[in-house]
Amino acid sequence: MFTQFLLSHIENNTNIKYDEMIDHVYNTKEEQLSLGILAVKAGFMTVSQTNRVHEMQTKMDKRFGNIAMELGYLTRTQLNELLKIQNNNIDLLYEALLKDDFMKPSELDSLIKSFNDKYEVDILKHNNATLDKILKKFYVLPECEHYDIFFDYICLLINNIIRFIGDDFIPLNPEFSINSTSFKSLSQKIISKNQEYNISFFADELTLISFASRYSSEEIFELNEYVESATQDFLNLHNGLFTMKESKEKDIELTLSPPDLFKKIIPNDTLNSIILPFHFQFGTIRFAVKPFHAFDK
Amino acid sequence: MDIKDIKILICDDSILSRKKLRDYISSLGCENIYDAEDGEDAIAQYTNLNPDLVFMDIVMPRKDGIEALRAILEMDEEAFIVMASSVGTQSYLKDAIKAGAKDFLQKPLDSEQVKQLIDNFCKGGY
Repeated sequence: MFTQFLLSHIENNTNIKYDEMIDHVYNTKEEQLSLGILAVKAGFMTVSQTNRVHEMQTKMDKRFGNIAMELGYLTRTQLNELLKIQNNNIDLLYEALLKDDFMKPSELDSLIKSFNDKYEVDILKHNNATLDKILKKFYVLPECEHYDIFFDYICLLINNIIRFIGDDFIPLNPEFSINSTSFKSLSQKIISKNQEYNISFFADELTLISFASRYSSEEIFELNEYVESATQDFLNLHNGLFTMKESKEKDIELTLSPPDLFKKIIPNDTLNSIILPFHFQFGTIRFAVKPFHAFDK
Repeated sequence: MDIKDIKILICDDSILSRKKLRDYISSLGCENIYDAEDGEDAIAQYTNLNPDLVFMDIVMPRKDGIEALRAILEMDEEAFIVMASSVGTQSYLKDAIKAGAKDFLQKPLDSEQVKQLIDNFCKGGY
């Protein structure tokens, strides 16, 4: 998750375009070293064991390593060893960005320094607190009473995008209004005892088709009912995992409305919402989320 | 009971979820699979088809899965209904079990779990 934010910072401060960077970085296979691949490479786990863990990850917001340990596939020592290798992912990103003279070392060093200064972190020695700091500065919410719930939501959203769609994206700066009416959107309500929160997902038609193809692992070539269904499924799955997390960790009971059907988005739909864009090579997907108040138990 | 002889009703408002589950169950050898797209449709289909096993989503338009579960069990207290939802909060689970659901599967569905459930059902293991 760190790499996506560093890439976003680089794009914001250079002339390199998003797609150029995604193409360069994600074509460098080493960048995609997941804990599962590392575990197989190290001989700690079999491919079917990693598949089992990935399948379980789709049902709970738990890290790969924790599930693998619970299932007895990894020991704590093995996990620590893998995490140490994985933490060098930033090093691999660094190498990828320098590969084929994509960037100059001095330019990259200077951008990493400005990233560290901006977010008050040391990206090369990152930990969980680093992500917290990055997210809170990246998604500034002037009028949010309960940042922690919003932060939980965004963190889970980014994790779910990585799990179900892919990690080859760059988060774009948050937006506060829609600048196009060509988007199609669908939304779902998260309902607490005292409030309802509308979460909208929107994108242009071609992006929706590619998004749905990735999510469903089906080849889809036109905007049809499967695109609508896949988009509804993703939103429902993500919001379902969020309500489960709130229920388990904070004993807060939330319910969901069924997701709506596609419609043309209008500016009023995102009034008082923060818009979270994520750019993939196939297009940009956006989520409009209203700041959460405290949920009543 | 042999899997090819059982009648299964899949109730989900998502056409993609229905297709995926139908494709998987069909690959196991089941030949009688039917769809319903919301709770009201499920009640109507249940009345017409009298299926042996029902997979029921919870969050759906018109009539949700818990309401449909209650309505079907009122008509047929022997109905074998398994809830399948991405919303597995304590209250949904409690409501489903209290209303008479035989099991609860968390979405996205794990093919192994679905197979195990159908195997158990066929062996009368519930």
